[in-house]
Amino acid sequence: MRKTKWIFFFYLAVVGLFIVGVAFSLSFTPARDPYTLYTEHPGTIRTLDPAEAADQPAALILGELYECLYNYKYGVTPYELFPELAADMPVYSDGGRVMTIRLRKGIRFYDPEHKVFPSGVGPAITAKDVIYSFKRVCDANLSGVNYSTVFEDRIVGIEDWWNYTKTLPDSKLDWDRPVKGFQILDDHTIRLVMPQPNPQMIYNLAASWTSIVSRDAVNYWKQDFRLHPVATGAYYLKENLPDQRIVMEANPIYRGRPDVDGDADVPESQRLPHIKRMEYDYFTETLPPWILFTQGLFDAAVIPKESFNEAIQLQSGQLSEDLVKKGVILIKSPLPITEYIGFNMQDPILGKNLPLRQAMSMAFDRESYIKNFWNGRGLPAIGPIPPGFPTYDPKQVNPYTQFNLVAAREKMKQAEKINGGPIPPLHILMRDSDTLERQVAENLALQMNQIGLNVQPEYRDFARWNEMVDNRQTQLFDAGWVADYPDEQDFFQLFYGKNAPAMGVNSAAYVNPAFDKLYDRAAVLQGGPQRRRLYLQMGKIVMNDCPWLLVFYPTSYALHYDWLSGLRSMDYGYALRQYLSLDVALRRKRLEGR
Amino acid sequence: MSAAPEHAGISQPPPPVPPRSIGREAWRRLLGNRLSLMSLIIVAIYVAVGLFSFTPYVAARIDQPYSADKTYAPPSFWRTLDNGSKTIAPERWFGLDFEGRSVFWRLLYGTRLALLIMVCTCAISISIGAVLGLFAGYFGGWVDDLITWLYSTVSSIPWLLLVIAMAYVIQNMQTLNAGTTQSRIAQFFGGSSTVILALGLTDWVGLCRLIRGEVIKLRDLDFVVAARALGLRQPRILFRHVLPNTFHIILITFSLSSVAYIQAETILAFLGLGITSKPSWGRMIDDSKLELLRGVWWELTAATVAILILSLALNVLGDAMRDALDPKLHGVK
Amino acid sequence: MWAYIVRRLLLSIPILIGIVILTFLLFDVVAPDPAIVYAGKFKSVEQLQAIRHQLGTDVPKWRQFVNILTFHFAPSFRYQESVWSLLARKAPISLAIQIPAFFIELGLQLVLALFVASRRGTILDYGVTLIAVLGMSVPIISLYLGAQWIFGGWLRWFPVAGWSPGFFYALHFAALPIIVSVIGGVGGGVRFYRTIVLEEINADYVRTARAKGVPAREVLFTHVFGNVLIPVLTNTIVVLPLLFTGSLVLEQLFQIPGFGALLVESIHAQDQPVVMFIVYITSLIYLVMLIFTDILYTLVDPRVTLK
Repeated sequence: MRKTKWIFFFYLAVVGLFIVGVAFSLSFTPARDPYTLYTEHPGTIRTLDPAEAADQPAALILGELYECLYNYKYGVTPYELFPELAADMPVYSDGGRVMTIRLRKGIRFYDPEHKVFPSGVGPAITAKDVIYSFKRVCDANLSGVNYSTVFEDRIVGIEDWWNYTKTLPDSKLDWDRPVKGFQILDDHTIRLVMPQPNPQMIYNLAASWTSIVSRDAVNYWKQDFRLHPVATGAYYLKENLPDQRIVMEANPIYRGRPDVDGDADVPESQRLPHIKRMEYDYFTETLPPWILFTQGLFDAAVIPKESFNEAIQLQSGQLSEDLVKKGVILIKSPLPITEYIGFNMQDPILGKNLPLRQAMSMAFDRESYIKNFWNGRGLPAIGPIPPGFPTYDPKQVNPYTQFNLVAAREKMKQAEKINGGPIPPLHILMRDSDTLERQVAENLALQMNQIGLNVQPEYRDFARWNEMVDNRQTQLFDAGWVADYPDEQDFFQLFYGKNAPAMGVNSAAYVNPAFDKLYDRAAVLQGGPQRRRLYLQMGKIVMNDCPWLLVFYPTSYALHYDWLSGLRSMDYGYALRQYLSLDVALRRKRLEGR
Repeated sequence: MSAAPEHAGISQPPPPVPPRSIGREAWRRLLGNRLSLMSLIIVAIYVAVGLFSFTPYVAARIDQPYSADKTYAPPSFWRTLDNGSKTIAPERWFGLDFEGRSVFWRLLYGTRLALLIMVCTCAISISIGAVLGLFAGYFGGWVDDLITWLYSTVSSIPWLLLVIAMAYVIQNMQTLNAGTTQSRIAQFFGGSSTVILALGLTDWVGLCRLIRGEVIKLRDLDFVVAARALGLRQPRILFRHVLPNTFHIILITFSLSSVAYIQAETILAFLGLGITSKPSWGRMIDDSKLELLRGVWWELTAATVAILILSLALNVLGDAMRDALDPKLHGVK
Repeated sequence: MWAYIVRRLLLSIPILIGIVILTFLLFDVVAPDPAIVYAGKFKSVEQLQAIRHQLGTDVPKWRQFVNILTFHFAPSFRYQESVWSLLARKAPISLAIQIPAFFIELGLQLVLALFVASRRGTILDYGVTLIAVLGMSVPIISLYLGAQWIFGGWLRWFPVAGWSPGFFYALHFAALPIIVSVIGGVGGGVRFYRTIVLEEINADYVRTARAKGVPAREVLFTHVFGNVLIPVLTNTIVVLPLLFTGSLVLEQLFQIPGFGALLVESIHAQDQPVVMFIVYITSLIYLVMLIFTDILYTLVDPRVTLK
């Protein structure tokens, strides 16, 4: 009896302690620093090593920490590059095959942990660091996720280096081994030699994958370099709690503005970054961050699709009054994205049946689709090139993206003739199985039913989707392309015949010699009226051949509170947060008013 | 139902397990208890509603918007007509969801999927479990070893983990070149086949173990020995004489695990696995998670209550059946 | 006794092999090539090979198989981190929720079960049992979603979701998940233990004790409670070491970076080494605990002998 009683009392005490602890812990809300920017971050960060990172969540963080040779001017459209670590724009020679780039002087690495460089301040960036960073991108030991994106086939002699890295582990590599295409002219000048003129190379030098890293830091941290960035950017990594949050603070030796030399004197009023500390929380579910935003605990947010009606008035497309009263501001901006449904041109039914593809394209009601599934957040697609590119023209008319059931049925008759009978059921491969994808697929099936086609959706995980599309094992597939740089070439490579074999980016496996000829001509041209003409011609060919059922160009709807200013929507570029500023008094006032 | 008593009559002692009378006795006890009678009625109502929702009448109403602005409306009994008069509107009883669709009709349709999931999953898991348990218990030897190994392996992996893995694999494995017949079947199942297979293929272990134990006891009983002595063929002995004597275990398993399947479906839907193309209760709960913010509580509530009442009834019924059919199984979960 | 333990351990080897075969079948043979997932938008044959080499998927299948059996797990694809360090990082977070939830739940179940059983047949008994069955019948997702919305979003008593290191900070975020998981789990146990207690109460020794004039409460708390502890112990000891795996749904919904959330994400991200590791380790622990339970039986109940 006595023993049992003690067990019972002990239990009561434990529960009591728990309750007291919970009550006590309620006051332990993580401290909110009035000068910190709070927001959410989508997805976990696998690595912060520029050479290894190939995903968007990592790129967003990398961009704040590291710097590249070039970057995009903040808030300027059409997009323009400026020299960031480079001193000026590259000088082209040998008909565009050779790029000579001068570097800024006196820009030093900062080591927040004072381990690689005991004082925290490292040496200034030299040509050697730049070439070293580029060679790392082409190191097979580092998984080389970015090799084919950036340098493969684009630098003379790079294959030799790549094959060489395959033979040895990282620690045994001779990093000074010469690569013909990567030349060091002097401490502050490098030269890139390309097998053929490549006007898009400069965009690669402005992508976070080619950020400049410190060789000392890599040697010091080795495998762990991915978690200990030593860089030159406006922020440094203060804290990285995997799957929880990432905290960045202003780099104390940052030169104040990205476009000045390391020893330039920037007046205090112009010094960036304005916000000295940023805290990002990771979220995979969409509900919690949205609640936190509406509670004012996050300064900026994207609207989950399901909460859209709550935030935006459907008729006017304006913010709901409730949010306006709280001081929320809406930024709408077109995204450089084309959403499409690909036709696998290797499929025996679809590939050789142009009228069928055209009929399907005409039978798809884009307006109602955008209204019903995207709350009107987007524009109906006309061609492969979305808004924001010079050759995009909203007034252009593509007969095959006009919703026209009569013409579509006409085309279907031709299509059946070509097919030698009725079209069998077609399958569309969807990228995911969430609510939205399901609704979209069911809607498409309904629309195609109107011209007598039976389209059956298949849902796959993104991994499986990738595998099937890359191996051309599909008929129709739901897809989208996000531009990597502001040049139409990025879209046209998706139709280039040489990219059509399995694994190539031409997922539709579209081959048209006439298109390829134009593409080859345009690929070596720097911008100008001649290239523009070629791009327009190429666009026309794609519109007519319909290797894609063009769907729409999405628009981004981002929200932020009015105490945060300086926010511009940028599709490319990085290191964007340094331009923001925080009105601390206004934030306090608004949050106290709740 | 079983020929056991006749054969048992040939051998000397009377049959120890007369299944028919125990069944009748159980029925009597079930109907005698007010609570279990009520549960039985509730389950019967669910089945009736589920059968009703197989009609095109319901199917036509699940995707149709019932409000002009295609958005939410709280539950209401009436609908106001254009001329200002009111009329009874069943589609609005449980409110409208974010696309103005009727929660009421979707809930009814969900009953159909729930019924399909319960019955088909049980059919799969029970047939696997019963057959394997029967073989293991009856034949013994290496067959027993093999089957014991199989179920020990499967039962060592936490169930939910296994179900998730299965659902993930099945969802990604379905072939792309599905013919029309297959798609017609898919239409019938409303996309619930992934859930059914994932649950059915993983949840046969408990039953297998129980039946194996029971059969080991049965196989040396006189009526089985007698049947063997009479030279009856093995399959006949197994399925006509031994299996019917394990029916009470199967019945109890059916009522208790079908509850678990409905619950598992909601979890799978939440994790984005085993997605149904038509509204299931799990999908309705998952869909409603973002709507809660706007104070849209009715979709979650409707689906939750639907599951709650059915689970409650089946739980009570399962318990009552266990008490009535097999007092020895008391306390076994 | 030792012979028994050794025999049981040896018998679990084929089961372990079976588990690895099963997970291999599920996650390696029919799964897509993980290299494609990690390759990004632009893929080339060269690059895919390099990724396969780095992930270790170019190693022959039988080698991978043996590696798992012998505890040489490949590092996680997604984190590029050893699975053991992932375990060390994530298990404490899951435990911070699971341990308090487990013990509060267990205590509550026992107290309620004893209490209800001692008043068998009264309104109280029916009421509590009904509530317990109700608790079992509520879909767990609805319960969690509802609690998150009501207490986090609407009343704002608890944070909506998230996690923070530091004892009280962690408790701040853990409180609501702990409470809802207790509410969600308590029902089934109450009902289960109630039947056990009832069986004990009807046992002969209780009647004898009562006949000898021992007060009802003392019988309940000394004799009955002591005997009820045996099934409780064997029931809970198996799951106790598996608490570190956390709750899949709870951690996903409340954004707790624990082991359960890791598993769900790893399945979706084709992170095969993590999935295999979790399946293998949990199954192994489960098997060992089963043996341990049997031994424990002999310790608490001298009538049982092991052969």
